[in-house]
Amino acid sequence: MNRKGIEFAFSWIFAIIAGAVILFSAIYITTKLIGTERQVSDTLIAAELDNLLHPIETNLEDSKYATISFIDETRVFNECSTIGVFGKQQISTASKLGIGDEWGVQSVRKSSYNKYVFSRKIEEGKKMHAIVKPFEMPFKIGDLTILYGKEYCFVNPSSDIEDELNDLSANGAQDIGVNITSNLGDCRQGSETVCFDQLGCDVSVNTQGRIVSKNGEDVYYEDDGLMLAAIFSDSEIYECQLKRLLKRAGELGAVYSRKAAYLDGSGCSNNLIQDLQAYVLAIDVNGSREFVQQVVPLADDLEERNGNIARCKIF
Amino acid sequence: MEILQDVRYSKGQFKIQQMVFVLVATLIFFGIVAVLYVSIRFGSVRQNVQDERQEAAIAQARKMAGTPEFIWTSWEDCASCVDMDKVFLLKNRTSYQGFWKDVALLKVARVYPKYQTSECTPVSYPRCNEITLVEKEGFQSYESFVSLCRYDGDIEQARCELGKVIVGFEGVENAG
Repeated sequence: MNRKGIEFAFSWIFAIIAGAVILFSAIYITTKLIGTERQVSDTLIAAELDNLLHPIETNLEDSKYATISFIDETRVFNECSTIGVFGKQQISTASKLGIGDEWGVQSVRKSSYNKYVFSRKIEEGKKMHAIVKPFEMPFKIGDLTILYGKEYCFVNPSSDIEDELNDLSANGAQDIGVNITSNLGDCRQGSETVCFDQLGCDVSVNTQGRIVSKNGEDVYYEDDGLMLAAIFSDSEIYECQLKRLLKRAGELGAVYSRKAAYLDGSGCSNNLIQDLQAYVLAIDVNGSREFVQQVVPLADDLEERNGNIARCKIF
Repeated sequence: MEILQDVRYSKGQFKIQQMVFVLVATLIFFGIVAVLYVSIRFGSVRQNVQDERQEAAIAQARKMAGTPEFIWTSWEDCASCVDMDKVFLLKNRTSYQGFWKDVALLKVARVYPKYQTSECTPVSYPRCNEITLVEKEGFQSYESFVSLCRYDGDIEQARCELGKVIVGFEGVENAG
């Protein structure tokens, strides 16, 4: 019997099986670790993105612009919920590293209750543009943070919008991702086209009716800030964020109503308590259309009445 | 009867034993490497989270005076003026509990002039020094100097005094 031959074969088979198990385990664990590392890194990016939105919030400014650059191609997921007193904003990211899956797994969501990011549900790019505008109805309610990664082409916008975009781009010195043209044919290929009072673009703005139409859906706006927010965001996100802003407006309205009562008691008559209470009741609307029809006239009236108070304005 | 039996192992059995030892040693080595990696990585993630929370607290301390709940707009526009009346009226509003979820401390404190009462209550306001909106345990705080403004019935106009907004964040060690 050839014992030497049997011993050789057994040790080789054993070594191959054990080696293969160790090798495959190592590959499996490494792949899993890379995935986890990517998710951890993307979660930190989402948290940092949320932090970066703090310094660009407005105080008394009319608008602000900032560019946010990522190291790798990144997807920013924007989720909005109206559940709860103030609703919730959730931001998460996924990056593209060029190895393994094309896109990493969506990171853990970073929630915030006082931010309002208007964008598409998924924005993609290595560079994101952020335009921040205050939302006042009639007192300051929050900041509209308009986030976009695509290039846009505005065809025949109003002079106000043109001036505003020129200011933000420092008269063209800075690329804000928006080109302005008077002819649709001059728009760069691949850019999202936005027509003002004309048809044929990806997004249409009816400045008379104050309607922004996109993908067959109409949303309503009141001022330039909301118009830009409607252009750059999905209609679902726009309606959700507007609803959240109105929820905060209701809470602030209640605080101002208490302030009006407090000042009244301190000998500073203002006669605004009932108007503010009516405003708080009217703020619970369904959608941007009702907002424009019901809330805006009340807010205008409230602003006028507050402006007429000589000594102790409420806001 | 033989008490001690002569035990003989074949060369093949020795080889198997040898391989088992090598395998066990390899697994222990990989285990130690994994434990080392996980502890280093967790330490680094913990530091990153700590840094991220710290950045958020600093950014919020700087910008808090400009938020709608704090900003003073009643008389003239002022970027770093806080509406004391509004903040005080916010204090016990249940709807605002949880609004500043990512901060462990949010307080407005008067720097000058100081009054005898520390925390403001409906009885002591406005002759008090502090309005605390959020206070959890175990925080590191950052301050930002502001003007605390309110309508003063005695002088029949707005009065602004020196104060500060204090924002704290919860350290990772204290996070539950």
